[in-house]
Amino acid sequence: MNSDEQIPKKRVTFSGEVAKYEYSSDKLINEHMNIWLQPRLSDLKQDLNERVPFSPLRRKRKLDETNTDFKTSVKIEQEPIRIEPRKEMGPLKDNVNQKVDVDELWDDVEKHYLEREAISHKKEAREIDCEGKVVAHETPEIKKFKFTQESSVQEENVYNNPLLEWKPAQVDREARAGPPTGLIVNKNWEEPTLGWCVDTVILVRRSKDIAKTKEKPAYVRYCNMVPKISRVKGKHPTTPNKSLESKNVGHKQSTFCHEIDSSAILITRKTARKSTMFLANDNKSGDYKIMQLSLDWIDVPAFMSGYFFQRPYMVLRQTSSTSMDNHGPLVPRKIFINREQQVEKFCSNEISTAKYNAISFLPRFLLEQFRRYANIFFLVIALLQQIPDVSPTGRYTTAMPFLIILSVSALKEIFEDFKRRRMDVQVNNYKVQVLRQEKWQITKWRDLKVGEIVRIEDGHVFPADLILLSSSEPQGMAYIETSSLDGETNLKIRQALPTTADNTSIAQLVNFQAELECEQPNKNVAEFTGTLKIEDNSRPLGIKEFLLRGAQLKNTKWIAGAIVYTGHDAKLLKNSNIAPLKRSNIEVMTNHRILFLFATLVVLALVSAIGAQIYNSYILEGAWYLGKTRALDFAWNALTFFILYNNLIPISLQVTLEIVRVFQASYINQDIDMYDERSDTPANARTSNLNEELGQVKFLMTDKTGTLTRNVMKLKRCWIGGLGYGDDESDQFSDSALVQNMISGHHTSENIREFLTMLSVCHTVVPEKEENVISYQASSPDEGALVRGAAAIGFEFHTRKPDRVTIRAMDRDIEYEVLNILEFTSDRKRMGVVVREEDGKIKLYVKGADNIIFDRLSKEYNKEMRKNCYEQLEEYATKGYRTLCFAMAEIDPEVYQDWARRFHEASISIDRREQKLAEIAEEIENNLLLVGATAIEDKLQEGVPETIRALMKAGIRIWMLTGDKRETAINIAQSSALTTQSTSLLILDKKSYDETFLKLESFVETSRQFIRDKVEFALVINGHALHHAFIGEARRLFAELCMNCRAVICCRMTPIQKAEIVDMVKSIDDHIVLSIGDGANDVAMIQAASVGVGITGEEGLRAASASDYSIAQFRFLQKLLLVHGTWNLDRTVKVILYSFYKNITLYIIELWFALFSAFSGQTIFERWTIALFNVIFSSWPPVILGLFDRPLPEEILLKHTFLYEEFQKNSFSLYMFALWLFVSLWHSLLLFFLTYLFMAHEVVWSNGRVGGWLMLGNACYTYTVATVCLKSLLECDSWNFVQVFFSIGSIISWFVFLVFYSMLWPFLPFASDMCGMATIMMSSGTFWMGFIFVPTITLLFDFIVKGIQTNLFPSSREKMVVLHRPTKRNRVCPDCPQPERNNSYEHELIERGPRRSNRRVEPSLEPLRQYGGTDQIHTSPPLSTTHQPDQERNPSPPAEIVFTRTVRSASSPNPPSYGAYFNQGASVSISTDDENERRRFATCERAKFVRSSLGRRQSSSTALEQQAMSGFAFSQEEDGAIGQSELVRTYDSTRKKPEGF
Amino acid sequence: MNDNLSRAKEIHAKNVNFQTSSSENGAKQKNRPKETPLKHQKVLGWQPIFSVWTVIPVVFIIGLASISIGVVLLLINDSAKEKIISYESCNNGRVPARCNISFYINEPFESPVYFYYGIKNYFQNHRQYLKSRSDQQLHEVANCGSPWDKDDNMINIAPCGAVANSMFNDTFSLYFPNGNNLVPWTHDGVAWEVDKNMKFRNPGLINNDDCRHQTKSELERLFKNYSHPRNWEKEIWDLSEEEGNTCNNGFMNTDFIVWMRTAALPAFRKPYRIFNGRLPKGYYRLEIMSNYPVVEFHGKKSFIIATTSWIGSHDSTLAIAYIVGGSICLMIGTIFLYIHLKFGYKSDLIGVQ
Repeated sequence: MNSDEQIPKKRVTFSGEVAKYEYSSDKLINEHMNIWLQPRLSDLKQDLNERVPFSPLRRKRKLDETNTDFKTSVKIEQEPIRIEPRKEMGPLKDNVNQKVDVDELWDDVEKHYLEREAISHKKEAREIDCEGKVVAHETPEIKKFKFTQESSVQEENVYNNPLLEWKPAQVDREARAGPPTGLIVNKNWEEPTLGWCVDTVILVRRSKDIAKTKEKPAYVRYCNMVPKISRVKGKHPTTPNKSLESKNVGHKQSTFCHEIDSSAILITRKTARKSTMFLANDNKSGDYKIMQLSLDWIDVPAFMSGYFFQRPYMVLRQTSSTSMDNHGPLVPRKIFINREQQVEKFCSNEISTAKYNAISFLPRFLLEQFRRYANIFFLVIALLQQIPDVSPTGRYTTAMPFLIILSVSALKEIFEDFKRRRMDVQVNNYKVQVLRQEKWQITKWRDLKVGEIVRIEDGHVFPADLILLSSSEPQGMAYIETSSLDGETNLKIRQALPTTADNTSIAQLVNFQAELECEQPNKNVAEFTGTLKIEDNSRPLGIKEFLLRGAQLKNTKWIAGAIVYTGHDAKLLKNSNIAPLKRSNIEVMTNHRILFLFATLVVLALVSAIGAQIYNSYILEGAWYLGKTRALDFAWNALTFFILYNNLIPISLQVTLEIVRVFQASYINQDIDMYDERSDTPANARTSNLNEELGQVKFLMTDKTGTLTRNVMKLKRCWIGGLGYGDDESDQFSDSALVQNMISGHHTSENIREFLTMLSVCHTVVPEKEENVISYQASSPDEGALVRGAAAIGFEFHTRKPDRVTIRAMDRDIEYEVLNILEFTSDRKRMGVVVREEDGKIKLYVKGADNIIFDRLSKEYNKEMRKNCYEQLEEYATKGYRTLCFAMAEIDPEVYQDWARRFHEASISIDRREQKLAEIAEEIENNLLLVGATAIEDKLQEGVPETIRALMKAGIRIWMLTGDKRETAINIAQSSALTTQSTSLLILDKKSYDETFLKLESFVETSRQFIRDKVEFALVINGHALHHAFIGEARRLFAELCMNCRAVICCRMTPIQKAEIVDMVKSIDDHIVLSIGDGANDVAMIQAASVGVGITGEEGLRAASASDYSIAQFRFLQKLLLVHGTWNLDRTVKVILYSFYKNITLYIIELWFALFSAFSGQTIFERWTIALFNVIFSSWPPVILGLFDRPLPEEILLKHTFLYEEFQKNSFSLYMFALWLFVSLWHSLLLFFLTYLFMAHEVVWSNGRVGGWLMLGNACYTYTVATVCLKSLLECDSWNFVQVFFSIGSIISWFVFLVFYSMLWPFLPFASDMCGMATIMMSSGTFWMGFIFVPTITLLFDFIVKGIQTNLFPSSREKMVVLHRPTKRNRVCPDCPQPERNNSYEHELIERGPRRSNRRVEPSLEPLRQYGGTDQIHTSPPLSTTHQPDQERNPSPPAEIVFTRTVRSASSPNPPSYGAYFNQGASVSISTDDENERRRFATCERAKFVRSSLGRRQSSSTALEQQAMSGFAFSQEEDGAIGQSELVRTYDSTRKKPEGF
Repeated sequence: MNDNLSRAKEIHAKNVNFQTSSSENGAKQKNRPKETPLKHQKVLGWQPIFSVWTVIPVVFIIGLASISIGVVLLLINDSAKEKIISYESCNNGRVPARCNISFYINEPFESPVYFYYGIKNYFQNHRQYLKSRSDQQLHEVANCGSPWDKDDNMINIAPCGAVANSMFNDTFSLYFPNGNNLVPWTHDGVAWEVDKNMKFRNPGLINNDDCRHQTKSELERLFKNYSHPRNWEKEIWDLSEEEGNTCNNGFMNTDFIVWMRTAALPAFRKPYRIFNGRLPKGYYRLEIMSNYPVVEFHGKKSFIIATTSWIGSHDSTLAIAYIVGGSICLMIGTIFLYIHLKFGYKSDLIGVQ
C-alpha cells in the first residue's frame, strides 16, 4: 500500500442500511441517528483501510481561550463528514444523503449521554463529592494544565492522533541546556521546550515502555501502512523520544498512540475529558449504543487494539466494577508538603462503611424495603383498606401485620449497621504519629490531612496513601507487606527519592518543604505518577515511593511519609466497592412469582367485578331487601375484590423467611464441624438472607494465598547426585543421611557441598540480624524457604555486602564475591549468580525450572542421572511440590573477563536492556553441571484437595483467582486437586485483543472436543488476556469456554479484576457465584459475588467482615455448601412454595364463594380469622419446615456429592411453581365444594337449627387449616416430633382460638358474628364427619401423586433414602442376592451423578487419584482420530494447547501415534488401568523427554508458551519497584542503620 | 470416595483429639458451639418414602374405612325425614295473601318435628346486606352507624339495617288431619341459646332472667325514642303476642333472632317452630299468611317439615361422598397393586434391578 496516495481524505463516505438508534425517543438524537452509519461495520472498516491509511479525521484543535467551558471550546477545523449511501447497497431512506457535521453530532450525542451519565452517577455520591470539590477549586492555571496533560509530548513530536487533541505545552519552564551526553539527537529536532531528560531511571523506564509498545500489533500494522522512511513530520505519528522531558505524565502515555487501532479513531472524540465515546453495535438486539469509555491510559490500548469495529459489540461501561474510573477533568492534585494550607480541599481521612445514618436510615430503609414488590403491594392494600366501605375485611387487617413485619426488619437492619459503625469508629480512632508543631504528635487516623508528614513504625499499618520520604534503612528503603491489598505476603521494597532520603531527623523534616503533584485518586494500586518539586527541582515519583493505605510496614524501624490521598481517596478504599445490597436469587425469583400472582389477582378482581356487574344488573334487579346499599360501580367493586383477594400474595412470607433464615444462619454458626479448634473460631453467617444461595453455587471463585495455601513455604525434599533426601512428613527438611554423606566422604559428598553452597549463595535474599537471630527478607518466598532450609542443614547465610556474601558452612565462614547477578524474569525462568570463591575460582550458579536447566546441561552429562533426576522431580511434582533444579558451571577467568565486559555493557545499555542482558547471560549458562533439585512445599490449608475434589464432583466449577504468577498458580492448582496430572491445560496469555480472540475461538473448539472425549481440561488465563476476553465478541466465546471448563486458573489478577470476573460470570446466565478469600484484596470479589465467603485467617478480618459467611478453614466450605447449602435451598424453596400454596388454597376459596354470594365481595370467613391465618394457624408449619426438614442426612450428602447438583435442578423451577399452584387450586376447589355439599342444607344438627353464614365459613376454614397443616407434614422429608407437634398443634390452635374468640362478644366490642360459633360448630355431627373426610380426600390426591412419582420416577433423594435403609431392602426382596443388588443400585445412582464414583478405580490408580486424579475411566477413542484432525486444521498447534508433561497411561491401541504427537510438543494423558499400556507409554514419555532435552533450544520469550507447563519456575517480584540486582548491590547487612529520631 | 471419607474422618478424629487435649489444657474455647441435637440438626427423624409398600396399604385402609363410614351414615340418615311445601304460587305471589295448602304425609314424623321456612334465590350473604346491621345496637340499644339508622323524620331506627328491615313476616299455622286442631308447636329451642342469652338483649335488662319481669309497656317505653324499620308494620315491642314478659319480644323475639342469623348461601331455610310430639300420617292443612314479597327477585318460598338424625336433616350427600371417596381409594389401590404385580420390580422403587 502506497501511503502517499493514501494521504488522508477529508471526506469519508459511509454507506449501508440505516441503523436504528437506541435512544430513539430523543428527538435530537433520533434525527442524527437515522442517517448514522450502517450496521455492517466491517465494510466500514474496509472502507477506512482502503481510503485512509491512518488518520482520517486529522484535526487541529483551536482553543477558544475566552470560553470557560472546555468542552464547547473545542472546535475542529475540518469539513463535515458526508454520509452518502453506496449505490449498490440498495435503497436507503431519503434523509441519508443529508450532510452531517460529525462533530456537531457528537456534541449532541455526548451531551445527551452525559446527562444520562450524570444521573447514574449520583449514586456514587462520595466519589463525586471529592471530585466535585476539585472542580470547584479549579483555577485558570490548572485549566491550562489539562492540555499539557493530554499532550505529554513535545511540539516537535506531535503526531496526529485525534484521540489526543493537544496543544503544545506552554509551561513556563526553563529548558535545560543540551541533550544528555551520549545521546544521538536527531538533527531535525529543535531544542525541546521542556528540556532533555537526564534521569537514567526514567530513561530506562521509557525505553521499556517504547519497546513494549512496539510489540503491539497496532504498531506493526502501522509500520506496514506507513513505512518509516515515508513518514512525514507533523503528519504521521512517530515514536516518542524517550530522552525528551515531558511533563508530569508517564512516558508510557506518550507511546500509547501506537496501540490504537486506526479504525477506532473514527468513532472516538473528545479526549479532553479523558473519555471517549463509541458507537457500538449490540449483537443481540442489533441496536447501536453510544458507549463511553474513559481513556484510562492503561485500559485504552486494551480496548482499542482490537478490531473493535469489526466486532462491533462492546461492554457498556459499568460504573460499579470496571477498572476505569475518573471521569473528572484531568487535573493533577497539587499538594504542599508540610504546609497547613492546601490549594484544594481534600477528603478527610475518616472513613465510613456504614449503610445508614440517623437521617438516611428511614428513607434508605424504606427504599430498600419497597424494592420488594410484595411490600409495595401490602402498603397499597393497607391504604386502600382505609377507604370507607370498600374493604370487605375491615380497615386494619393488612396494616397491622404489615407494620409488625416492617418493624422486625428495621430492627434487624439497625442492629447490623450498628456493628459496622463500631468497626469504622475503631479504625478511625487508630493512633498515628504526625509531625505537628515541630514534634511528633500522636493523633487519630481520622484527623490526618493531606500534606502532613507521618511517622510509621515497624509492623504498623499506613493510615493513608503516603509518599515515602525517608526511613530508618539505608538509602531510604522500606519493606512493606501489601497482603491486605493484593494478597501477596512477600515483602515489597519501597525506596525514597535520594533527595529526601536523608531527612532522617525531626529538624530536617520540619524544614522540609516541597510541592507535590500527582494524579487524581484512582483505583490502580500498581501505578502512581507524580512529581516532587523541591526548590524548583522536580523529581519524578512513581510506585517506588508510594505507600498504600492498609499496607503494613515490615522490618523497617520507621518511615516518614507525606500524605497524598486520604480517606475514601485512598487506593484501598477506591478498590473496595460500597457494600452491595445482596439479594438471593430465590428472592428475585420469588418476586417474579409474586408479580405473577399479582397479575392473577388483578385478573380475578376484574373478573369478579364483572360478575358483580352481571349480578347487579340482572339477578339482583328486584332484590328490594338490599335496599339502597347495593349500587356500587364497577371500579369500586374491582377495588373491593382486589382487597378481598389480596392475600393470594402471602404477607407472612417475608417474615417467615426472615425467621427461617435467622435460624438457618444460627445452625451455621453453631455447627461444630465448622468450628476451628486452633483459632477458636466458629463459622459465622453475617447475612442470613443468602442461605439458600449456598445450595445453588455453580461457580466457586477462590483466592489462592491464605485460602488454599497457608503461604508457608518449606524445603521438603531434595535430590543430590542421584540420591533423594528428606521426607514428606516432617515439617522442616532434615535428613541425617545428607550430612552423613557429606562428611563421610561419600562419592556425592562434593556434590552435596556444592548444592548447599548454592542454596545459601544463589539468591537475592537479605539477612537481618537481630541479636544473633537471623531472619531473612525474601521477595520470593521460594528463595526464603531455600535459604532457611540450607541454614537448617548447616549452611547459614548471614552477611550480605554490596559485592559479597558470607555463609557459615559447618561452622566455618566462607566468603563469596558476587560478581554478577543474572536476574530472574518470567521469560528466563531461572536466576543465577556468578561468584568468585576465596581461592579465585569463578563459578556460575543457576537455579530455575527443570526444563530450562536441563536444556542447558552439558551434553556429556550422564543421561542416567538426568533420568534419575527427572523421575525424582516427577515424584515431587506429583506430590504438589514446587520444584527447582540447580546447576553450576565453573568459568574460565579469561572467558569470564570478556563476558563480564559485555555483560556490563548490556547492563548500562538503554535500548532493550533486558533482552540484551538475557542474551548475554544465555552465553555462559551453558554446559552446566546438574547439582541437585529441590522440592518446596507451599503448604496447603488442611483438607483442601479433598474439599476441592468433593466440590467439583458436586458440579461446581472452581476458579482460582490469584495475583500470583502463572507457574505458582498452576502448581497450587495441581496440589490442591483443582487440576490433575492428566488435566490438559488451555493457556491463554495473549496481550492483544486479536490474538486473544483467535485463541479463544480455537479453545472453544478444543473444549468442545475435550468434552466429547471426556478429557479433563482446565483453562489458565492471565489478567491481561482476561481483560480482552471480556470485550466484544470475545466475551461470548469466553463465556462459553467458562461454562465448559470445570476448573479455571486466573493468574496475575488485580483485586478489581477479580471482582470483574465475578461480575462477568454472574452475568453470563445468572449463575450463582461464590467467592472465597481471606485478604483485603478479595473484598471486592467477595462483595461482587452472589455469596461471599471470607476466611477468618491470619491476614486479618477485612475479608471476613465484608463477607456474607465467614469460616475459619477452606475445608469447611464442603459442609457449608454440600450440607447447609443443600438443606437450606431445599427448605427455603419449600417454605416459599408452601407459603404460596397455603395462601392460594385458602383465599381462592373466596372466589368460589363469590359465585354464591352474588359477587358482592362478601368473605366466607370472618375477617380476623382471615388475617390470622398467616400469623397463627398456618405460620408454624412453614417455619418448622424451614428449620427441621432434612431431605437427606448429612452423611449421605457428604458421601454422594453429586446430590448437590441434583437438588438444584427442581428446586424453584417454573414447573414446581406451576405444580404447587395447581395443587393449591385443586385443594381449594375440593375444600370449598365438599364443604358446600355437606353444609348446603344447613340443618346439620340433630336439634334442627341452622348455623348461618359463619357455620359454612368456619367449617371450611377448619378443613383448610387441617389440610394445609397436614400438607406440610406430607411435604416434609423427615418427620420428627417437632414437625408433627407443630402441624397438629397448629390445627389445635385454631380450635382453641375459635373457642376463645367466640366468647369475646359481647364482652369486648369485637367479633359479634363469631359469638358462640365454637360451640355451634363443634356440636355438629356433620362437621366432624367432614373434618375426617375433607382433608383426607384432599390430601389423598397429593399422596397418590407422590406415590406414583416415587415409584415410577424416583428422585435421587428417594433412592438414597432407600439405599441407606437396609432393613427395608431386606424386607422387600429377601431372595435377591444382597450385595449385587447393592451394587446395581449404587451403580444406577452413580450413573445419574455428574461423574462416576471412583470406588471402581483399580488399585493401580490409587496414587493418581490421591493427588487429584480423575475419576473417569474412559475408553477414549484412539488419539489419532481425535486429535490429529485438529492438528491438520491448525498448522501450528504446539503453541495453542499445552498439555501436561506427565502422562500416566493410555488406552490407545495405537502406540506409534504418541510419538508423532510428541513431536508436536504436546501429549495427551489418559488414564486407564492397563498396566502394560502404561509402561509403554511411560517409555515413550521418557524418550520424548530425552529428545527434548537434547533438542533445539528455544529463544526464551517465544518458548515460554510451549514450556508453560514443563517445570515450575519460582516466583519473584519482577518489574518491581527496585530490581533484584539493584537491591542486592545496595544492601549491606553490616552497615549500621540510621537511628533517626 | 471412601478415601475422602476416611480422610475426612481422620481429620475429624484429629480435631477431636486436639480438642480434648486442648480443653484439658484449659484452653480458651469461648466460641466453641455447644453440641446439642437441636442445634446440630441431629434430631431423630423418620424419612417417609411413598413406596408401593406405603401407598397400597394406606389407600386400601382409607378406602375401606370410608366405605364403611359411608354405609353407616346412610343408615343413620334414613331416620331423618323431610317434607317440603312450596307456596310461592300463593295468590300468584302477590302479598299480602292468605292461602291454605293441604298435603299428605305418608309416614309419621317422630318427635321432635321441626318446621322451617325456606327461601331460594335470596342473597342474605350479600356483602352490603350482611353488614347492614348493628350487633352493638341489638345488645345495648345504641344508635348504629349505617345509612339505615334514621327514618324520614330523622328518628333513629331500632333495629337498624337492611337485615332487620327485611325480616321475614309470613306466618304459618298447621292443622292436624283430624279436623281443625292446630299443631301445638313452640318457638322454644328454635334459636341458639347463645343468641337468645348473649347476643340479643332487650334494653333495660341486667340479668338474663330479667326479661320475665319486664313488661311489654316497659319495653315500649324503652323504645319510645326509636322508630321501627321502614318495611315493618309492627313496632319492635309488638313482635310477640305474649303480654306477660318480653322474653320473646323486642330484640329477643325468636323469629327476629332467627332471621338475623344470616344464611351463608342464597338458598336457605330457617327454623320456624318445633313440635315436641309425633306427627301421624295423613292429610294436613297449612294456613299461610303470605306477607313477604319474593317475586320481584324471582325468589321461592317454601314450608318444610322435618325430623333430624345425628348428622342433621335428611341429606345423603355426606354418606355418598364417603362411599364414592372410598371407592376411588380402592380403585387406585387396585391400580397400584396391578402395576406393581405386573411390572413389579422394574417399576417400583424398591425392586430396581
